[in-house]
Amino acid sequence: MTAAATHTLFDAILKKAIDTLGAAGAAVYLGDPDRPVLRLAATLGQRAADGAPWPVEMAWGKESAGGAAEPATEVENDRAVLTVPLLLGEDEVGAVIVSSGARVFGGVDTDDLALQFRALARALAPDPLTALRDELARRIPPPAREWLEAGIAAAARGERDTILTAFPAMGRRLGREPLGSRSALVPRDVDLDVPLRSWRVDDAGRVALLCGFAGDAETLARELYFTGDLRERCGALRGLAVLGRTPGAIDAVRDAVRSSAGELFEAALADNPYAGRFLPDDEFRHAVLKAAFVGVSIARVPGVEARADAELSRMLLSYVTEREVAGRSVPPDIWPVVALHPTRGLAGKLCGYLEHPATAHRAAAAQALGRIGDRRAHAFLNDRLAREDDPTVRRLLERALA
Amino acid sequence: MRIFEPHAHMFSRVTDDYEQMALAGIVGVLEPAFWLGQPRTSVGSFVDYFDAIIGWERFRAEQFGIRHYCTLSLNPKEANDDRVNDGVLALLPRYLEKDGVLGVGEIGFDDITPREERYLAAQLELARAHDLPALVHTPHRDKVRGVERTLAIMREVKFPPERVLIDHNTEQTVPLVIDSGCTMGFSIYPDTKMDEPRMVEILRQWGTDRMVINSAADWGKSDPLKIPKTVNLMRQKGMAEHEIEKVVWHNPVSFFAKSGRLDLRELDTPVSPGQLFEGNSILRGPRA
Repeated sequence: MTAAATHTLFDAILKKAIDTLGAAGAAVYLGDPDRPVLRLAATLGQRAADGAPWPVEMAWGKESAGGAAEPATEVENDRAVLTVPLLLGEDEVGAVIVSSGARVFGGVDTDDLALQFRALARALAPDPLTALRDELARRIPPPAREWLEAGIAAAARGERDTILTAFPAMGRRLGREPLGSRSALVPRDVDLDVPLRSWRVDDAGRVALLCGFAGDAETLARELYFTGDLRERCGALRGLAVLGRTPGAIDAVRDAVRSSAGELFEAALADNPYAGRFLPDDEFRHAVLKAAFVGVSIARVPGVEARADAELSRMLLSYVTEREVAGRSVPPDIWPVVALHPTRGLAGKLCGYLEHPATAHRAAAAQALGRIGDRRAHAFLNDRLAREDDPTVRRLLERALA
Repeated sequence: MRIFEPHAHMFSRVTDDYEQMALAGIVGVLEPAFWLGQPRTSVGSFVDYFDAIIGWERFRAEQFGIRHYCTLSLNPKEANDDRVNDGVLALLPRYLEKDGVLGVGEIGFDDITPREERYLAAQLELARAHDLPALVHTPHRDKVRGVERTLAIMREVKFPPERVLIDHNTEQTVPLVIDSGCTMGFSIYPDTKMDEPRMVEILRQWGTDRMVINSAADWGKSDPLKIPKTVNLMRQKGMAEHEIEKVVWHNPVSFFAKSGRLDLRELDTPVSPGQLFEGNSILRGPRA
């Protein structure tokens, strides 16, 4: 993005934040890649009533200057200044600081802002190949990096055969450890993000080759899937997450979600927008149900909320019933999804889960009740709010009551 | 005594074999790609076979605590079959980069035809390109001439002999191979090829440098316990323990370690039999 385009984007975001919150001013801060500080990138309006300037630099984290600077991932609200992290995946790349002026901020409207700021973080993200190179540079030794760069250069010349032989060798060359990244990749032409949290080092290397390929990467990924072993297949599926633009390779996803190999299933469906975009409705529903069944959080299935329907609610709740009859636990991330198309009695069931000992269940039930909007639940929501200690659950309860 | 079995076609063996082999001290087995006893009619059959010996067979072996490796190739017999030969050769570059592949093999001669010569040379080039050693089969018929032609072709394409294992040797071929620098394999078989007493005699006469023994167990009458049985006879005949260990462990392991892909620490780590294959739930019976 050009500097001018970036500034237009910052201005638009800051104006929207100020208008939404009725704030006095706001500023974008971006993380410094080398030091634990946030640097001022753009401002609009006043920092405070006395007209004090926005600091050019500030310590990056919850502690103020001098403390250990851990990037914050939650919205912080001291009632006069609101700090909203700019998140790419789960990685804080910066923060937007909003100054209230006279108004005292509530907790509820910040959720919408957080979503807008995610879009800003995506717009600022490097292209996927650059991002993968950065991720790998920190994790693989120079000889492995040289080998990979030679492969990327060959891919850029359109040399398919080099990719065909590099794909199986990738684990041996780069390693197979978890990549350990909290960040996400953002394709240049589609506004979506592909979280890297469950990627391994060899996944990153394989997808880097596909990103660098001068030919039809989608068709190549499909071929590499069907000729690959488990790790190669995971890499091909993760390549489709970033590069898939047509349903042309959906049979690879179909094959993977049918398999009993947990790692393969996860690579096909979790954090993979390709599956969510191109699986037909009935297959998508079955894949989501299988995710719940095999213990992959359905919250990690991109598009699950957009594509949720009454049939998916029925299937998931029937699974819940089966688990409950057997006296087994139920995955909490089902609640917010089924709440989009609630069945009779769901609100009552969720009121019961507000008293669940696990925080995740209380949070999911509160979020789901907020979506259903059944006023009969308010008594239970208020009752829980009076006794709830967890800040996330409290915020979700407040929002459900708003 | 730890044993590395450098040549067994486990694809055609039953789980009892794995169990017996593990009990007899075999901790690693190398499965060379070969023919299946009947001709394959399409390249797809090779794809499935290669997939089985790089993945599924490894899982089967590990259920019994045995590490499984393989070599891949177009075998000499089917090199003569125009339905498959070129197609299989085209598959090899990407299969040779797969995990667990420690060499190119079995290649070599069966009927000593021009096609066999061509694909032997082509696959030695592949071994060079992928930095892998080669496992060379020698023919059942006209063996001496087959060994001579093999050594000649290696010289023609300038393939380094220290990266070649010439297999199925006999008393007649040892004098041809012993000074070549190649590693020499001997297949101990129930009726044909080589038997235990002859083997011990060869080792006495020629020493143990670059000598390895195997069972070449396959789909025919063969015995996957031939290495431990030969070890017994070596002991009875008074061979020193370190000499025996050299033949059944150090020599085969150091030969295949030339691939750069044999993780010696992994080989020394006992396999957990409860381990799943690629997270696959296909395992029968109770889990460990």
